[in-house]
Amino acid sequence: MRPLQRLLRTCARLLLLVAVIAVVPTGSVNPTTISLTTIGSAKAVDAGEGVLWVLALGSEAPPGEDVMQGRTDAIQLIGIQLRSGHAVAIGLPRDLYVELPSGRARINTALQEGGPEGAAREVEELLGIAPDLVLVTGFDGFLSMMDAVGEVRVDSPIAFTTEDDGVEVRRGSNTFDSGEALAYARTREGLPAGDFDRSANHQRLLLGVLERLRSAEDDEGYMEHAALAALGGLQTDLSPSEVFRLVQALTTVDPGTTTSCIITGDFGVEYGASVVYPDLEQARAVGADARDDARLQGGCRDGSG
Amino acid sequence: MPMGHPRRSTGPAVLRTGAVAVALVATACSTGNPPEHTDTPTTESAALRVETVGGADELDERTRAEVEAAVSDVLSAYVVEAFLGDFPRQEFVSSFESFTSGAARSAAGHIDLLTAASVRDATDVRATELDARLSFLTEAGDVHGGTAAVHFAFEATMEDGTRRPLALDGRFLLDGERDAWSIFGYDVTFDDGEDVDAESVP
Repeated sequence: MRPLQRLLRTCARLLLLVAVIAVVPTGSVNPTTISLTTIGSAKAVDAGEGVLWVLALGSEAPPGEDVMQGRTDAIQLIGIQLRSGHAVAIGLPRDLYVELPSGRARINTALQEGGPEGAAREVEELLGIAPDLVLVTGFDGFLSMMDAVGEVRVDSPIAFTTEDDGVEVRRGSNTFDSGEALAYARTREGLPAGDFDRSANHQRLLLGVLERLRSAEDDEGYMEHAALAALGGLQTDLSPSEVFRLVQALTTVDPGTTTSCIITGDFGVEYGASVVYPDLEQARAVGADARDDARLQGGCRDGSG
Repeated sequence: MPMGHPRRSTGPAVLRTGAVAVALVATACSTGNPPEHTDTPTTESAALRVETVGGADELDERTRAEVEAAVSDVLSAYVVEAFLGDFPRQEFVSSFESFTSGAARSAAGHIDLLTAASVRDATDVRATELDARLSFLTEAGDVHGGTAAVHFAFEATMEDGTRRPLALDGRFLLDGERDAWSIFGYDVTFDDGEDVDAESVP
């Protein structure tokens, strides 16, 4: 329903109620019977069956360069249960030290080494979930998509200043435009838990995007504009129609039923660089829990309770 | 990405169904312009008014007309099967022939909100307003999908002669190409016009 019509209809009914109440003499004890009609709603998007697993990668390739050649400092495996509207995001910090075909290395080099298939393979190796889709974006693509999405609201548990552009992030609710969202997503220094916190911030940003999509989906042309920006901003072999369905399917996810988790591990140093040896037990337990229904009913198993 | 396929891509723009002659005439117009042509409706008919409000800038006139006509056909076929035709009747599932298989399965679970099933005992249902505003996803001159924001209003004549207004508002999500479109999603509200008594104690 168009917002204006919805508002008018709601106002009309409120006026009717007020009018009915107003004409009943004060002090009357007789109940007044009024008649209203009921309105039901229905929503569904056909974007496939079961859980759709999307591996979203943010590439650090400089603007103008092939995003596939960049290291991926944002790695999120997102599961969407298309029937129930449940969704889960599993964050993989960039420093996770994993076994690549060429030897052990940080997981953020998997895209460079093996392309989207290679990155998907590493994620499957860790979590036991094979991504259905791999979506890669770079700085330019991220900005163009966020421009199309519009301002997003993000709740931050702490206050901090972003490394780039000096964006002051307040504790509590923040509203970011595309540039501020990028600065927020890239910041790692100064966060208490470093890259783990950054990965959690990526999930908060995803939630903000989801809420924005849902709030604006009725605006004429908005979802088409968002899908077009996704087509331009993402490296994917999905057809335009499939991207359109995917973007529409996102709006069926209820933000209140989403869950998230970051894969943790022990810090170490390899060849002079900081790495994280992944907690394989946690990774596999989380993957097994979420695989079939995009829910984490056993929690994140990271010791946070 | 596993997705459902269209069960039927198009439907007739002008239909007559059973004993109730219902002319459902699709007309199209550009944003801000009056309809290019409007067939004179009978007292029993309402024209499906289709207006493209976004995404058509890149399209040439012929392509836009083809796409508008194809989407109009899909919407017309749905409206006729879901709300018009013979009454009383029990069968409404065929309303979703122009939906993808997955969307049709979902729609069957929402049949009371997507069809006139809630007034299945009516003796007649006629359309009073049928408006659709189309936004298209176009890339490099090709159309890949779109949204029809609709306001469909009907009047049902019940067995006792009383009349009930029905209204379906919201969005239908479509994908396809020039002449082969299907509905893959919907987000609608339906007012079945049935009075619900409520008591107010002052």
